[in-house]
Amino acid sequence: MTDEYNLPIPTITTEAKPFWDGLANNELLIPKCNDCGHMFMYPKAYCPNNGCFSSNLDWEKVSGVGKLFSYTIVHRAADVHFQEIASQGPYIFALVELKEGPKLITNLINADVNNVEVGMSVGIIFEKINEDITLPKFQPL
Amino acid sequence: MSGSLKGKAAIIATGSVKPERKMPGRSGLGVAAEAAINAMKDAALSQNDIDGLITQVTGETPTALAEYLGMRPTWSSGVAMEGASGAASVTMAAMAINAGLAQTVLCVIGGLAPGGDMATDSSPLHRPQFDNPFGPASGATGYYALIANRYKHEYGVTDAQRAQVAVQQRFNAQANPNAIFYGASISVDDVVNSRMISNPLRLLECVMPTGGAEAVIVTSADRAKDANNKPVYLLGAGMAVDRSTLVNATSLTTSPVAISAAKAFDMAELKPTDISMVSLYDCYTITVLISLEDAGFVPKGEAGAFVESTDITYKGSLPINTHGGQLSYGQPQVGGGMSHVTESVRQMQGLAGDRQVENLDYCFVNG
Repeated sequence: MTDEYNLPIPTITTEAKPFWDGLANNELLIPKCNDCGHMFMYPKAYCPNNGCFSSNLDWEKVSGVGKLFSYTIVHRAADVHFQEIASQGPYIFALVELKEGPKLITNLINADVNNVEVGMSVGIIFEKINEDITLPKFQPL
Repeated sequence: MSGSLKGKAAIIATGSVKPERKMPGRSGLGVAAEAAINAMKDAALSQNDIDGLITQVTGETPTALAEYLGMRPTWSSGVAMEGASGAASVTMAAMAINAGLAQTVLCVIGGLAPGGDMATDSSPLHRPQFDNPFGPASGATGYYALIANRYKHEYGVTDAQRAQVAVQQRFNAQANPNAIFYGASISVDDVVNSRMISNPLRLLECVMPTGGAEAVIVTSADRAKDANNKPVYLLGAGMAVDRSTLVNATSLTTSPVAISAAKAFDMAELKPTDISMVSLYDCYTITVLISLEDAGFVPKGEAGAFVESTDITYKGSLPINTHGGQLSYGQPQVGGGMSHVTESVRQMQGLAGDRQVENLDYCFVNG
């Protein structure tokens, strides 16, 4: 699979590198402010909580469980290789709200496309692409 | 109200370029310049009569357009508020005029049709990292599909109700020869049976990307009295920014329009029931329903039923997007948002031709 993987790979930014390093170790790490406790996405250099301004940030290992905040079944993908997949059978592009609050764009996998509901409980699946990249995907719990 | 822009400036001219899928041999600057020149001709003004320029031409700078047009403005700015850029540019022009920094401002937005898919070609930084590995649908469809499904979950809306937006706006486009879908009526059946793009949004619920450009000229209330066209006064304006990505949206089903519209009505000292005609940003059908609610025209959660039971065409009780909206007029890049402004001005001036709405008092525009 590693040799044949032709879907878009994340272009990793400096501030987000620990997020991807965590995933490579099968850990979902979310930025957390050591001063006010606020957890947030996407990774950044300063806490975005109103008036906090802290740069004293850390990475919190979170549960990887949450709720399906919304979803869409993709029939016409932007990427040509995703379109090859969609033409075989549509897949699910999803917005998941973690138990700890922050949300992630992801795929809902191992799910029946005819039986997906907003609000359903989901849990993380670490999908290893190569040594550096593991994608955080989710499946129904 | 101190600091209010109410009645301080007026739009005195419009210029448009008919949206097209392909514009062979043309440049983005050239297309924007055509809209600008059309507006100057409409106002019977020349470059030297205009001292302010606000613009967004895809991939270009305000200085590049000024030079292309042979203009030497003494106040200028870009505008980069995505689909809200058109409405925002008018607000910015009125601010510059009210502050005494400019007297007459040209606002022009547009460009050539996107050459590739915007999800891969011109993405904000977060998309290649956090979204593209999961295969978003073409254009912005996947994101609005997430909004549509969440809305369906919270308030309920049927596919046929969303389709009403596309169908009634397409009806309007049949009275607009410049619309890209002029001469191509559609029915609710056509919409709900069109190709699925990203569930629940189907092809005929998605905007058509085109090339093109839209322009207006804004001047002070004093100077507007001498304009050769009927001036259309800016009575209220409001802006609100909530997020760049859905991950940080306060809500998927209440948009920043709830805040910006309230600010605009407050400045204008008007309320939604005073409004005769509405022009709402419509990249997708669901956008119109949510904006209609958030601007205060329909209670939250009731827009689907409203558009199903109400004539929202130019002949109806609450005309919406009389030029066809971007769904049927075309979306000339971010100039699509400006098309709501140019159409509303023409309606207020009584220059909307076969689709003219009668007895217009006040018009509401958003982006």
